[in-house]
Amino acid sequence: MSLSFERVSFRYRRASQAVFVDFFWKIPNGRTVLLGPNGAGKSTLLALGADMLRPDKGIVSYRTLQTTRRSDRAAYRRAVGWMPQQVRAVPGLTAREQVAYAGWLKGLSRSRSWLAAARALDRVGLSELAGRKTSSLSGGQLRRVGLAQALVHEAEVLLLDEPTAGLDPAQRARFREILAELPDELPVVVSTHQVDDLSELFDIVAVIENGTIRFEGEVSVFMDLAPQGVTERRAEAAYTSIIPRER
Amino acid sequence: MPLKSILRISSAVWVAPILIPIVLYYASSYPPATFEPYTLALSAAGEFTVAIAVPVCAACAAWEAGRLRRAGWYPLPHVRSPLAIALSALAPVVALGWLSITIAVLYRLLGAGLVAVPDLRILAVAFVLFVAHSLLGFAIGVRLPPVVSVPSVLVVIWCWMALPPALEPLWIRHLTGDLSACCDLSSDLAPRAVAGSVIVAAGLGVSAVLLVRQRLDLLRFALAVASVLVAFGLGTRVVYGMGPYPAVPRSPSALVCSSGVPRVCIWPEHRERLKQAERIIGEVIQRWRVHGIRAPREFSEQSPDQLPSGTGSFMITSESRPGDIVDTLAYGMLPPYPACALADTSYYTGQAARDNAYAWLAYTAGVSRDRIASEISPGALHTIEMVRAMPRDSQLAWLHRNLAHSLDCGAPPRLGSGG
Amino acid sequence: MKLWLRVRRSATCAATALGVAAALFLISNLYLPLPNLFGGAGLRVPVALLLPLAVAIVVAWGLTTGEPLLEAVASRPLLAMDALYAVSAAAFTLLVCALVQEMGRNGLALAAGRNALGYVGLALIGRWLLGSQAGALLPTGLTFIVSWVGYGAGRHPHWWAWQLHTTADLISWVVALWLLTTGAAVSLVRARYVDGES
Repeated sequence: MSLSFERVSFRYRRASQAVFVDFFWKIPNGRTVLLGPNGAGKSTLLALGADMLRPDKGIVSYRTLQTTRRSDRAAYRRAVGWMPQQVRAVPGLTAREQVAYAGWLKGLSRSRSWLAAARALDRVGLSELAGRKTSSLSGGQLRRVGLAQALVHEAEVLLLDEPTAGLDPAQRARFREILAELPDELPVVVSTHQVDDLSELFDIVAVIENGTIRFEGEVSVFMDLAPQGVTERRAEAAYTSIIPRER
Repeated sequence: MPLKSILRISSAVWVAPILIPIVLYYASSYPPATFEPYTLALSAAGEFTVAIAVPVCAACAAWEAGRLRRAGWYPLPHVRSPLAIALSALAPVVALGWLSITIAVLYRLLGAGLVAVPDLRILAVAFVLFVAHSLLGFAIGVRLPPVVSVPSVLVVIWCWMALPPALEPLWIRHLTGDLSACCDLSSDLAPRAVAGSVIVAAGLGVSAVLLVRQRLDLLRFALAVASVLVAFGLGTRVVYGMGPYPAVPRSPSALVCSSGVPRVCIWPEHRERLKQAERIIGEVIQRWRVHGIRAPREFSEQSPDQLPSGTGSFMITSESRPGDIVDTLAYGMLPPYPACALADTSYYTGQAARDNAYAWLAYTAGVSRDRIASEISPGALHTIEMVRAMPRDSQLAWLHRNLAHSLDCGAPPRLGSGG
Repeated sequence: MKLWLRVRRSATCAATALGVAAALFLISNLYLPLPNLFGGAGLRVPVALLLPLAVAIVVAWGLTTGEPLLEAVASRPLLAMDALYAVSAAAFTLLVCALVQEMGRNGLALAAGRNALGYVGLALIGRWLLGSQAGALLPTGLTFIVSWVGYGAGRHPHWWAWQLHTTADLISWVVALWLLTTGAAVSLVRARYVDGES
């Protein structure tokens, strides 16, 4: 059983429209890329999956653990790793301390989180900057700290919200390497606007619009949606066949 | 940003419905230095509420800075200077503060039945205080998160505005800009108090302008601290030695005088009572002349210690009845109290003689027996009733003896075992 | 735990509590003079009773200095830990203030300690009502207003002006403790959305 959303409804306070109404989705095993236009609900979906937001109705669950059940909550959160769109520096902490703090928040002991932080920073290629204050890191480096925070407690599901936004090509390449190094059996959902190299990185493509999954399938099936004759930028063409450009 | 947007989002707009009623309530309740329709005193009483409004506006300024800080806008490479950004964010805050004080002052004036322009010096000082403290609040707000800056600014500036009157030496209070203790009719706003508070406020303002720079280096920080220290030093130099009131004697050029004999001068606030005062004083002089007393040819409402020699003093208020004026004329004929009577460890022995002389002068001026008994003393009334039976010259000799004795100081008390 | 305490600025908070105690030790007789609009002699608000506002401000600050998104999805019971931290900070301030009172240096030190309980409670309620960045505004704003309107005729504080009373007033203790308890209780309620700035 993977992470699933069952009849989930959610509306932001003061918003006139609900983001999700009776939404159902089961996150597939493997690496999933979540595509969709701005405002489609990608970030909200991942925040609901991380138990950052709680649904107004319905169930968000992983295995037998449900976010709405108080007794399950700690175990659920331990199982899920989440990298929010916005990663903030905690004033006064070094990169290793901030990642260790994230591990401790996820229930690791002090000593384990300290060791795990070093490992996580190593995985994201930030070992050399482990002793630097996070407030002095560049935007790209801070995003890698965010990824290390999501990895530090060895989560069973990983939700990454636009992890490559604002990164330069070299940093994006480094991110792809990190993603490729993750164990194959680890379910990973990455929301993004980048549709290059989908086939190299992901197994599944999901396209969300207006709080509904409009497409879910293997990358090859997704690519086949591109109109015949299109040989370049096929992923983009496939995407626009689901979500037309004028929208 | 359009004015409409600024007004929609500014904390000043949210705070105004709370601040203005509080300021009005306090302004209407705080007693002015005089109950006469004196524009300056009423304006100063209205300005008393700066102790409430300035800290609140400074806290609002810190909140506005916190808003820019949270949005991450402040450190961006803007074309406009940080000061211009600060001032645009602070305009509604300063306007709220200054408006609340202006409304309070106008409310005081209208409440006293006075349709007049408020004392502009008071409003100008209030404006400087609002600008300087709001800038300071803003400078703190861009450096610290609102959760710290807003409450800290509120409490610290409140203590700064309210605490000095509790401290000694007394001149410290004139550095804060609280001019509410000014002024009775014989006094005017002390330029030193205005200058002292404006210098300190300007120093705080300059320091704030240095601190609102986007990149704060050690030199700028040191300059900011130095500007505060220099301002306090200069301000102290200006107000050093002042007493508890921010007041100086009012210029005699403001007096409105009659043209006849005796010449009577009163403050312009009592202008409509000049004819009445002239008539009463003329009658009293006539009565004293009958008893051999030579009264001055000119009487003035000025404070007795400011009178030119040869000028008699009297007091008048909007509520004075003729008997009150006569009474103050008699009192004005007495010599000033000797230094020993004003000292803390008083050994003044001339009070009985002074009461006797006062009672005789009042009686001969036309003050009723009952009033003398109640206002001076029944003993003094009894004494002068006996004196009045004596011949005129003996009465005059008795009066001059009592006037001379009224300056008597006895031997100072001898303390200690040797005594 | 150690990192969490560091993120919560526990050292700064302890130093502030000790600073409040030191200030109480040094200034035993400092008052803010305010006019008494109800007649009689002017009012004197003891500065000692305002000093613990500093502790409430630092506690409210410490609760904003973490990474709010990270903390919102923590497995540990962070809301309960934060409530416990705030209560402990208030209790520690009460303790050091009681020591100053015991030394006979300031007759209002214990009242200041009591105020620390109420101020921290109000800061927690303020966080819940107004948002994390405006938390400390509730104790400071209320105390600012209460000092102006909290005295009745004859320089006696009204019964509801709990922060202006001496320690002899039982109601002031009850109100301060009630505020702290309520503040701790509302801190356990998870915010629907997370905001924050360090």
